[in-house]
Amino acid sequence: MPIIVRLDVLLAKRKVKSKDLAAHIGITEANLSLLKSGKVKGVRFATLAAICEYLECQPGDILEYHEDL
Amino acid sequence: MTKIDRNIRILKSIVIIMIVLMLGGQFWYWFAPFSSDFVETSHPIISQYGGLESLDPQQSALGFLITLAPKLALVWAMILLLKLSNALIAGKWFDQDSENHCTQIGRWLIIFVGLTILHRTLLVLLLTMNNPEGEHHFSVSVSTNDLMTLVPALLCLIIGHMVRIARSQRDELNEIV
Repeated sequence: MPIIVRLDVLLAKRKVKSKDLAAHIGITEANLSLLKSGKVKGVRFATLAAICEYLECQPGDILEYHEDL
Repeated sequence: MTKIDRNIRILKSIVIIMIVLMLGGQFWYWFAPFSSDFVETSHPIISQYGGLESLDPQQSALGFLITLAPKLALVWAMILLLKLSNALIAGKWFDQDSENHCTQIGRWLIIFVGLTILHRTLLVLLLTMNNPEGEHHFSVSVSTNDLMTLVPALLCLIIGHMVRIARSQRDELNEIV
């Protein structure tokens, strides 16, 4: 999959715990963990918007496209 | 209990009664000493070829087996319907088992139609097997009832396919966070 999820990097930069983010966006920690590791087929716009709101970032900060992957 | 659950339970009771009547009737027709009128009503071919009394024990035994075959196929389809009903009552509408049961019911109904057509041919061959040479009969007949049975069979196959697609879409949706 050429889409890389940079959520773990962003969480570290913002010093935010996964548990707090999961509680804010209303998904389980297990699903957030799957999202961080890129083991999901997709992300809902609502989830993406909630993450951007909480981490004060843009979708492009979370997702990256790498052609060679 | 929801309305659909109640209806499924009613359907289950009807199916169980039908299975008992069908198998009980089969034995009654062939083995009860005063049942020839029933046999002739149930199998008009037999009355056309001289009635149950004209059959020797070997023909009777074979006739029983020949007429039993399509009934067994239908009974198995009904047992699968009972299994499907149990799965639906348990809330497994889009389960792998429900999909398999639906598809299997469709397949067994098609087998039932095939065996029904075949059993009439075999019955005529059996009833005329003791006839003199050159007087053995062979017939193939397809009735509108046979064709009508294909409608629920195809519906079951289509519903099974729809459940498979719905299940794969649900699984895919579960992988979106």
